[in-house]
Amino acid sequence: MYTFSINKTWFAFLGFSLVLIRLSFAQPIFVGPDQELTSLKMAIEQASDGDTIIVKGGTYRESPLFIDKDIVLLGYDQPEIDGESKHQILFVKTDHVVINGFLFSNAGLSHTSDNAAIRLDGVKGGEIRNNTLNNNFFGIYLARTEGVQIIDNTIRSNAQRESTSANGIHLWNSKEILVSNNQVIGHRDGIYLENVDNSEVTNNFTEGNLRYGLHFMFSNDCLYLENTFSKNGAGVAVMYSDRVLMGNNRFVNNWGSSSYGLLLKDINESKIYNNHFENNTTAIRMEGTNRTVIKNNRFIRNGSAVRIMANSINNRIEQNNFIDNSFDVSTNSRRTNSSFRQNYWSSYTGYDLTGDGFGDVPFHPVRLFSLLIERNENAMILMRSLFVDILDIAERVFPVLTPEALVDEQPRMREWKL
Amino acid sequence: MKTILLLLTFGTLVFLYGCEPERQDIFYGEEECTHCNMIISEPKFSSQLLTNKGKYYNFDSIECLAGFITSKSLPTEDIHSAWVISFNSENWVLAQDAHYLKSGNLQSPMSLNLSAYSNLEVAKEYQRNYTGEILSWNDIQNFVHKEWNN
Repeated sequence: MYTFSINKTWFAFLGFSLVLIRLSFAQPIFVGPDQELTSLKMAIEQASDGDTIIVKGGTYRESPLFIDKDIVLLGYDQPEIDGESKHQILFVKTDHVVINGFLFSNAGLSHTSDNAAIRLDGVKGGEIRNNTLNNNFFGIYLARTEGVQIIDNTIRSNAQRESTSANGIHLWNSKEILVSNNQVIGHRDGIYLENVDNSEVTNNFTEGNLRYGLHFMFSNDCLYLENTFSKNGAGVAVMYSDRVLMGNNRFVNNWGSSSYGLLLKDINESKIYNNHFENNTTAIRMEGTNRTVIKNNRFIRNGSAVRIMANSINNRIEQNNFIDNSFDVSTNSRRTNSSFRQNYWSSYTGYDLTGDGFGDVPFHPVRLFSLLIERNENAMILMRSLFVDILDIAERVFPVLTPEALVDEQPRMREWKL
Repeated sequence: MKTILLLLTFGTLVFLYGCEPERQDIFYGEEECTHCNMIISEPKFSSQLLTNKGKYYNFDSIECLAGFITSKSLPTEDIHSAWVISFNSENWVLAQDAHYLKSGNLQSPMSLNLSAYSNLEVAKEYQRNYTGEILSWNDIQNFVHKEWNN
């Protein structure tokens, strides 16, 4: 009887203290100019695993800040964390950290260290959401990470020269990363992936980046969907990567002598579906690209729609719309190992007597004139001349110089509804 | 008459001497790497090759310059000189006179992580700070050749 009652009190006490501990976990730590704690650095030091720190509006100049605990950082009224153009700002070394609702500004430019506004190194999980990044060297930098999500951030830099700005979102040696709904403006590369596998880049908007809107290097089995790439040095470069799925993206207004909508270099077994290419100097340039399918895309008013180099083998270009491009297809060789099937070509002038929706006369999309330019760029000045038109027509009837095998046997009479 | 001829010959010689190929400025952010087609964006890694005819090729990294040379894209006898940028000062140096550091902590555009230094002491200082291995221009060419299999 006696022992029982002791046990009862004991258990009641234990239960009560457990509730207390639980409560203290749930109690967030507040930081702010009007709070007891005014230093974010102190708050991070005081926090323990599982804590939430709520940071109130104001400017915090305590960079660099290191996070080595599994915590949640929430910004209230978008507090600003300022790198004072000298430091990196936030360095995360623990798994599952959440960073939400902040303004990060002025991570310092450096020639030898990759200063970033937010850097995650060697972690699993984590979420960077709903932040604004202004005028930082690197924006968000992930190294050796897995399963991190980067969502709803606005990343802006006003880089004038490439050397003064680095990448907006930089992913290195990581896997299973999600980059979604971000805006990246005015960095070197908007979004950069190097040695990143099984990751997704969706619904992002990149504009005015000095090099590429999106840049893949040595990154396999990734996909990027529903993004818009506008007015970047070049839209997207996918290099030395295999099995990349590119779908429903918009590549627009990438003009310039070395500018592309999409540059493919050493790519295997990739898929390019349902994209929109408009107003680019070259919509797609393919070099060392093999066994890749380009299907259901719209190519509208580009200088060159598809530029396919001789070292590209076994690609299939089918059921696309080619509308009002100066050159639908250009190449640097008479031979071709890729097939063109059932595309709609606005410059096709054949007829369809069989009534199956496909022209009865095969279409040769490579203009003789494009070969002339290949050899002598200055000949471009003759672009709209009657002489060139006559040459092109003659060549289409009797192909002598243009690649004979590069032909669409079934040119579509009417546009595909895409 | 003889003097005029002499003057003319001399003049032509001086003129021809003036035609020695010269290193050209790279327009960063606009020009492409000859080897990998990437837009050249970081001066501290960029490099350049001059031919005897005065043509020049720009590269975004030291590995691309070495790769271009070892892949024999250009006959060796046509090459006039190869130039790299000193990582610390951003001055141009002849490739064979430079010292190189291969360090994973200094990531170059084509990810072989090579940087160049005009001065061996500086290279060693960077090696102390960033770890890695110091290489010569010959080592670099062999390394890139092996790494890229070209």
